[in-house]
Amino acid sequence: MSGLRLSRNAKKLMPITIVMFAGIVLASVFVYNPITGQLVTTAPAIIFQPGTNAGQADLGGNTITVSLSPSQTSASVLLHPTYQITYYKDILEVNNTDTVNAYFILLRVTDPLNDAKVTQAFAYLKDAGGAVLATLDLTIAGTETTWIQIPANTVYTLDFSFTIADGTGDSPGTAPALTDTQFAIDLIYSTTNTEAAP
Amino acid sequence: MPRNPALHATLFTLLSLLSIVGYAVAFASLAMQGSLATTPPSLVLGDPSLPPVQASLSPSNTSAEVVVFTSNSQQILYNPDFYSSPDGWLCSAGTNLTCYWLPGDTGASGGVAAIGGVLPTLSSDSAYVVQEVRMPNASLTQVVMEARVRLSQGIPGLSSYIVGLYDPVNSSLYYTSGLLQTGYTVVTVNLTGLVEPGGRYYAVVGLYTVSLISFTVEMLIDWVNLYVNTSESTYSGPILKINASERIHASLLLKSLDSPGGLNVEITLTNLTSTSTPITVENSIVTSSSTSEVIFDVPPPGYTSGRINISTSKVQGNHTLWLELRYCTLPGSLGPCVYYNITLTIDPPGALYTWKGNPVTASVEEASIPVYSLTTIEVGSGED
Repeated sequence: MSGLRLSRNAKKLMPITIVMFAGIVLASVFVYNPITGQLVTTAPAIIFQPGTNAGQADLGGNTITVSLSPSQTSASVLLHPTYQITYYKDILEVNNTDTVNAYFILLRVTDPLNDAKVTQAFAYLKDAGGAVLATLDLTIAGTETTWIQIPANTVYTLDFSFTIADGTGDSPGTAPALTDTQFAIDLIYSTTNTEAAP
Repeated sequence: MPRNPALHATLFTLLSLLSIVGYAVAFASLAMQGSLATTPPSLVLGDPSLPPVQASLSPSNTSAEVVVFTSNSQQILYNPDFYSSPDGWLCSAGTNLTCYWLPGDTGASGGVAAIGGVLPTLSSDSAYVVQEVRMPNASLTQVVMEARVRLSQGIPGLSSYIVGLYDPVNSSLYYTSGLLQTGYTVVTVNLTGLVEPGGRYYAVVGLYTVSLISFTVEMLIDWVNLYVNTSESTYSGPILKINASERIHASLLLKSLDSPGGLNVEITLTNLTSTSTPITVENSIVTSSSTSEVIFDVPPPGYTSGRINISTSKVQGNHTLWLELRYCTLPGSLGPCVYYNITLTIDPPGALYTWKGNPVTASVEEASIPVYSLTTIEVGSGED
């Protein structure tokens, strides 16, 4: 019987050869299809602007302070409420600067007022006639309004109200002592109201 | 199924459009950060400390529950005894005479109001301390005014007291007068039949003096009372004091009313010199639900910025009114506005009122009485 006879050297190379073949069989193939992305930035259609009461006299000789970022896409508001109900009218305004297109806007609480003495806190979105379009509870994290359409070239206003209870330890000459004095809202806008905002 | 190219194309186009509408959504967001720096209340409420009124205040004096007890007989002047301040009283000054308040006098209880000055040779002058009052809007069966007065400086025989009511509508002064004594004398004037139910008048106590040579004159007033008896159960006067720590613009709103009927009430805001238009309830029907706006300022020493006054007459039963005091930093409800709740109950069943008495210490060392431009008082008309 004739058989395959391998030399002693060939026998030594056999494992290396097998490993090399295995490497060829397992190697991945990568194919590159290019995708080109391009960003063309645009001016914000919706911006904040100071309300008519921004800069006006607040309680206790203070001033209602409204500060805007340079692009007017973020705002900070400093208010000075006291006991019972303090109502701030037209502090911040929402301006749709697009002269052609309407948008949908939504308000969402990202940082709630979480203080037992603040029994109620609301933001009110109003139209130019003073009608309330949406009410936002500032004491509940994540709460949001429904989508509200803002027509082209239209300004809506934001009011705020805070109800601060008085109780044991309070007095007429002292300010209400709060442990949480900060709240934050996102105003989200979109061309459509068919999707939930992320 | 046979393939229809036209239908396929149409379906593809529609699906593509729906896909674009469904997924080509952009969201942008704007962020707002809010900060609260709380402040003490710019306006606080106070108990008027009157026998027919029980006021319960919240710890910060920013809400109140008030009970008023009506009766057929009451004294309607606020701070009638000048005990700790001249609060509620104003001055109708003369050329050389003016008004002020002193914390005490021998023979007097607590503080006294004073009218005095230096008269030049061959002159005459008069001055008055005054307080606006509202007569109960019911048949007035008796109206009597009393004052306890004396001459503390001056020449007896040349100075006279004047005690009465001034009617600003027809510029009439209904009064009695006489020579001042150096010791305290109680002066009484019967004004029954001279004043109208619901009318607004000024209670006046004045000094009239003449001089042949220059001299200093001073008249002291220990107390003044104006007693009114009515055919119906009434109350006319303050239910709450108001103190402002900065200039504010306030109004009062009647939010709701629980009344079995027969209630007549007017509610006003008053500062040192003016009164708002009233909230009006006629036979338990609200005919005016809010007052006009009144400015409250930081008051002069010894004074409160203002008061909430009511004038009510009723047939029977108990009545509850829910009020809201609104104040803003700017006129016309501009600037931040603060709302206080006030519950007013008139004659609750089964409740009794207790006399709280006067404070035992004077609140100020000495005070001037603000001059009020009531310069048309002329002696010589009305009752003499």
